[in-house]
Amino acid sequence: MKAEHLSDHEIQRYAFDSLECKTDVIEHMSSCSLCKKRVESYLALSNSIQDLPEPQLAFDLSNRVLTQLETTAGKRSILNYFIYSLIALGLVVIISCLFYSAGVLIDLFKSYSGISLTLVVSVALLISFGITADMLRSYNKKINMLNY
Amino acid sequence: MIKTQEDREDLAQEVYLKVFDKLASFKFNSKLSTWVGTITYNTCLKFLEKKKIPILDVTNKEGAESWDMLESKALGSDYSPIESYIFKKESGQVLASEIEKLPPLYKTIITLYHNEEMSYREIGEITNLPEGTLKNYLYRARKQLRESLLLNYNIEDL
Repeated sequence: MKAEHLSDHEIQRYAFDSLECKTDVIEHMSSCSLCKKRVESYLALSNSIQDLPEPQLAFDLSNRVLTQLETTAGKRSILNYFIYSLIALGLVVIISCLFYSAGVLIDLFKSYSGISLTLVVSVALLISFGITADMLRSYNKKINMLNY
Repeated sequence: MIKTQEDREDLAQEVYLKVFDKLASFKFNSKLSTWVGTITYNTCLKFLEKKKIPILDVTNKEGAESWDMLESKALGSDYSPIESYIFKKESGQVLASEIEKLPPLYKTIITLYHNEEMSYREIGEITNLPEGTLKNYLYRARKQLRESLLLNYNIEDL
């Protein structure tokens, strides 16, 4: 057991990170009233800080931020139009390809036997389920992260 | 971290606009509040750097010695325990004003740890400080706060 009084560092460690304290520090604390008072004093300080009221802004922040956002909204909408146009173009290309190659695809499926077709469809469904499950897991994780 | 109300207002606005702009780059590697805290901390750091305000002052050795003297006097005396007087709720105003006088970094970590009740890991993510360094700063911040509280009170009045 420590004979001399604990240092300020050890006192604070005992008060706030007690799991990291050495055995001799814990033993000293069980018998030293002066060090106990110092620990209590730090804990009282901690409680007082916790009891302090939350700082308040003296103005309407959301109003100011929303006003600023409105000025940048125009620039954003142009970017959004560009993104939506690209998506629409992509969809048109995919639908056109499907439309023009529909005959080839139907012939391809017809040439497969029932068993191989079932196998292909089953594998495709399994992959889809896997991807969906992964997306759901990722979505839930993100929602938990946002829940502060 | 920021002393004047006017600068606080400007920075709060700047932080929210930055959050809105960078929201798409949020990778969900941490809590949203921690991410917003990091942006806030970095914005304030840049501001302080621009104004050439140090975020940490060198500890005053003389103050530490006088604290030891005051502490042994107070704790060893027959008077009521110091915390019952200095840290009682009625003196919250004094405590708030003493916290305000701390260096910006100390003020930030004291607030995040005791007010916001954040873990060392979360504070480390915001301030980009390793856990060991953070704990050391927190110990020094609390010590400095207690010193200034005691030194600004007349110990004989306790």
